[in-house]
Amino acid sequence: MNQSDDKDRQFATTLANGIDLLLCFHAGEPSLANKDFAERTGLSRPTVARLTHTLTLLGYLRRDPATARYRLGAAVLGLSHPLLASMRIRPVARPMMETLARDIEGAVSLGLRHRIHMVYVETARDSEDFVVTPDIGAPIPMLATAMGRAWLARATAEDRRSLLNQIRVAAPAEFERYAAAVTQAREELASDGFCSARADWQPNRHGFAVPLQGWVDGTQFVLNCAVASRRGGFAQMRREIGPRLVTLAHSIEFALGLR
Amino acid sequence: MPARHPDPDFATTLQHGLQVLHCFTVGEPALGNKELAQRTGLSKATISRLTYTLAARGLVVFDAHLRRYRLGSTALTIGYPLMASLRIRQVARSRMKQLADEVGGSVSLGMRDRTRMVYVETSRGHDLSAWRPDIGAAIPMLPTAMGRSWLAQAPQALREEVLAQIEAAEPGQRRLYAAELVQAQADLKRKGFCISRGAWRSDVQAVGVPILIPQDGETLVLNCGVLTARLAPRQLEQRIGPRLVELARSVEADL
Repeated sequence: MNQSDDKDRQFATTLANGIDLLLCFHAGEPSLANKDFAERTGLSRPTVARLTHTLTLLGYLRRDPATARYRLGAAVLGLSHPLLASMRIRPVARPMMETLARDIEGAVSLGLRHRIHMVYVETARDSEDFVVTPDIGAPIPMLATAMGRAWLARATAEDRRSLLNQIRVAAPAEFERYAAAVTQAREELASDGFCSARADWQPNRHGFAVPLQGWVDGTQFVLNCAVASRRGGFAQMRREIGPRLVTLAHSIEFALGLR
Repeated sequence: MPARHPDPDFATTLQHGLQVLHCFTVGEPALGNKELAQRTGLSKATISRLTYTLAARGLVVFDAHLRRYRLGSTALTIGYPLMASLRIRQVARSRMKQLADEVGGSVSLGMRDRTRMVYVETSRGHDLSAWRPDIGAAIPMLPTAMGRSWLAQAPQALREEVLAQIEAAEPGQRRLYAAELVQAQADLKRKGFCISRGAWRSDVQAVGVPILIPQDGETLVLNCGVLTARLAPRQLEQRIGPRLVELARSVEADL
C-alpha cells in the first residue's frame, strides 16, 4: 500500500492512511483490532487510534466495546451505490442477460477490472440457488477466468504487459499456472469472438466471456456466463453458448449506440 | 475554510476526503475539482490534493474525455468484506425473490448506518425502471418501514441515541414522525411488523420486520415495498405484513 507517490507533496497522507485501514479487511476476517491495523499498514498505534476513532464517527467502522475490535460500517457500502446506479449499461443489459441466463440455465454477469482482479457489477441467474456466483464487488482472479482472459485479450499490448507483470509479482502461482492461457485467449477471441475457461477456476463449471466493443462510462466492460458442466461436455457447451454470448454482446453494444 | 473540528483526535483531512467521495451521486456521477470545491466549501488547492490522493487509491478515476473525476473501482470493492460477513444474504435471497415476485414489489434487507438504513440485499419482482432499489442505497429511518422497524425494536437507550442523531442532522424530523413511531412500536409488538404508507416515496407503501438474530453484531431489517396503485385495500397489513414476518422467521431458523 505504501506506493512511491505517497511522498509527493500533493499527497494527503492522513486520507491515504485512513483508506488503507479500510482496505485491511478481507472476506472471512470481519473484525480487526488497532494492533492488526498497525501491523498491516506500518503506522504507529497512536496514528491508527486517531484514524479508527475518526472512521467510527463517520460510520465507516463499527467498534465493539466489549472486544475493542473494529468491523466495517455500512457507510462503506454507500460508496458503491452511486457508481453502480449511474452505469448506463446495467439497466440496458439486465433484461437481455436474464433471458440468456434462463436459456442456458446458468448465470450471466457483467464485470470490469479492479487492479489485478475482475469485479462483477451485475449478475442475472437462472435460479437464485445458483449460489456459486460471486457477489457484486467480490474480487475474481483474471488469469483463471474467462472474464479476466477476455479483458487481457482485448487490452492494448502495453496494458496487457503491465497487468501480467503485476499479476506475476502479486500472484506468482496463478501466473505460473495460467500464463499460457492468455495467448490462447487472444487466438480464441480473434477466431471465435469469445474466450473460455474450462473448469479452471471452479470445478465442474465452465466460463465464457466477451469483451464489449468500445468503452461505456469510461470503462471496458466484459460479459461472461458461467454454467455447470453437463452431458455433452465442454466442447458442445462451448459451441452452443459462446456464439449466444457474442450475440448478446452485440445487442447490448447496439442498444448503447456503440455500433 | 470550515472551522477546525473541536475533537483533537478527529482526523479532519480524512473526513474531507470522504466528504469528496459523497459528492458523487447517481445524478452527478462525474465532477471536476471546481465543482467539488463548490459542493464541499473546501479550497481548490485542498480539493486537488484530496482527489489526487483518492485517485492513487482507486477511489476516483479521472475521465480524460469529460475532464472530470468519477468513482473508481475501489469504491465497488471496499465494502465487499462486510457483504461477505453477512451470510444471511445468501440464506434469504431466494425467499426474498419469491416474495417479491408474488406481490410484484421489492423485498430488501438493510443495515443501519448511523441515521439511515443501507440496503445489503434486494430483490425485485417488478420491472419499473424508475424504482430500482439497489445494494448500497441509503434510505432515511423515520419515514420508512425499514427505519421504523429498526427504531421500534431497539432498546430504549439506543433508540434515544439514534433519534438524537437524526434530530441533529434534520431538525424537526422527530416531532414530525412522533405519532408514527409510537404506532410502529405498537405494531411491532402486536403484529411483528411496522408500516409506512407513502411517507418516503409517495407512490410506495411498505412493511418492515426486524431480524431477531444479530448479524455481524447488528440488527438487520427486512422490508417489502409495493406501489400503492398495485395494492388491494388492506392487502399490505392483512397479507404482505404477515408474509414478511413468516419469511423473517424462516430465515432466522436457517441462520
